[in-house]
Amino acid sequence: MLAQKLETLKDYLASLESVAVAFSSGVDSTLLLKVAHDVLGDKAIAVTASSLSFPQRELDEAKKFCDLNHITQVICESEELEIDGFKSNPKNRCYLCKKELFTKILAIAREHNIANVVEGSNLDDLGDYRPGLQAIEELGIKSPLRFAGLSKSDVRELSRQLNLPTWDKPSFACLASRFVYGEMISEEKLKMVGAAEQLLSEMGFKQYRVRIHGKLARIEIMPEDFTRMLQPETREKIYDSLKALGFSYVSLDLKGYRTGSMNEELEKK
Amino acid sequence: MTLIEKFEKLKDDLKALESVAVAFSGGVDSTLLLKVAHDVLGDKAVAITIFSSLFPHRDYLEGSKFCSDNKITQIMCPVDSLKISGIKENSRNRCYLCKKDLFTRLLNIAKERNIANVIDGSNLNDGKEYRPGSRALKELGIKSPLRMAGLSKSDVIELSKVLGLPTWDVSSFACLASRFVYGEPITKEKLKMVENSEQLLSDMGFQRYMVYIHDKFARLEIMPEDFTMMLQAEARMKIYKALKEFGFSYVTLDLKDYNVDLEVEGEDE
Repeated sequence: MLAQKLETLKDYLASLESVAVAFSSGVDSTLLLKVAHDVLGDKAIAVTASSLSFPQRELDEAKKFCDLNHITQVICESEELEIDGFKSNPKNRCYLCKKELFTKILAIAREHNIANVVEGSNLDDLGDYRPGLQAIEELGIKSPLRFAGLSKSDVRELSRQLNLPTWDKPSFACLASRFVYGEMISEEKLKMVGAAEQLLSEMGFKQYRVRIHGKLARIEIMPEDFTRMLQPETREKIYDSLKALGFSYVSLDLKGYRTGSMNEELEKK
Repeated sequence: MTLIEKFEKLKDDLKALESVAVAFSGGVDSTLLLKVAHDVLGDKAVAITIFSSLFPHRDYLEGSKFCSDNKITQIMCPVDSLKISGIKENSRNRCYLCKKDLFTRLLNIAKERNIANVIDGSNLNDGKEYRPGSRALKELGIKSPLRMAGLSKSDVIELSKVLGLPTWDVSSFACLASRFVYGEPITKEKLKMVENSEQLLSDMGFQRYMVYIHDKFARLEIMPEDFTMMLQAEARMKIYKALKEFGFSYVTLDLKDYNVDLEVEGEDE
């Protein structure tokens, strides 16, 4: 079954002849890039956005992966804070940003005589509220993982079989997803969130989000990590560091880590 | 001065006042003051209790029980605190405006009943920090016998213990408006959300707790030694679900060391 899906994916990519993969170094786009490059060789390149919403750590990992696999990578500057309306963080924030970003990637593809731009959303991404997918559709960007019927767990399993370092990498998403809709997004606040999450990463936490509500930090981690975070030394270090980064209140979400928690207010309305 | 000497001074001062109306909340300070005043002055000492949505209902019930157990006259004074100018907007001088209004009412009630003095339960510690409420008392000539006798918070607790008062180990719950950061509008609905949430924590056996409200966001402060209890899967999900039902969108535990702030946080924040 999974092998069949992989064949579908390969056939589909082969039919596209040349592709630019929107590559974030996350589990989905890493698999997509790897398979595309295996199938199309130099006719598959990576395009990675460098942006404030995207931590340096992820960008470095993306570069490293391309180097190791001899894949051509183009870095594309995204200035999402310059997009009209983005800063005020409207509900269609993702739409605005993806539209701008993928328009740039399309232009890069054209410059390199590449016929198609592909991106790594999978079958599960159709569930939650994802206005970004609409932009992708409008621009004719293709989503081969979805075409091949691959779910998130399929993507992880295939990645494991292909020995990709990302097979168990926590899902990550853009830093703007740490802002509740309507909360102004600024360079300063993006840096606060980025630095706070970097700290949690360095302290060994695997799956985490630092959500920002004004001056409040709402930390989401896995419930099994609660005890560790609340040990006096760890807790005080996190509290003091986040205060120093500019937060007034530092709090732990009692429900724990989940995706789409910033959509919870939307669902109620 | 020893505790006994302070106690003697308190009794002497109260005797000199001849007749008093004690502003009585049911908390540890005003309970001690009322008890000593009644012991010294008998029926010339009465309690006046403000009945308002800003004060937790459980404090009021305990206060009433105390008065009837000790055969002390209690005058109830219902007040719609949110109608006092500046309260629901939650301005910085909220406590001043509120105390000025409330104690003016208490003075009128005392005058009608030919009671010479209105006294309140501030102690020595209350004089040290920024307490706009204390200024209102001073302006109105309200006396604070505990402070005059040099009794600190720990003296009050010790003396309450010696006198066998039920309140000696009762946490100070203070006014529910203190759960709102300045500028956060205070409404009946939000007060209910806070009160219901704190009642739940009380029912679950937590000793010290505050549920702070930031719009739809609940930030729970408890003692670090209670973290483990709160984060057990069952307790955690019970709290999470109940608070969601009360109207909160996010339920979080503050990572700050609540111990540190106990000495400086008080009625006026």
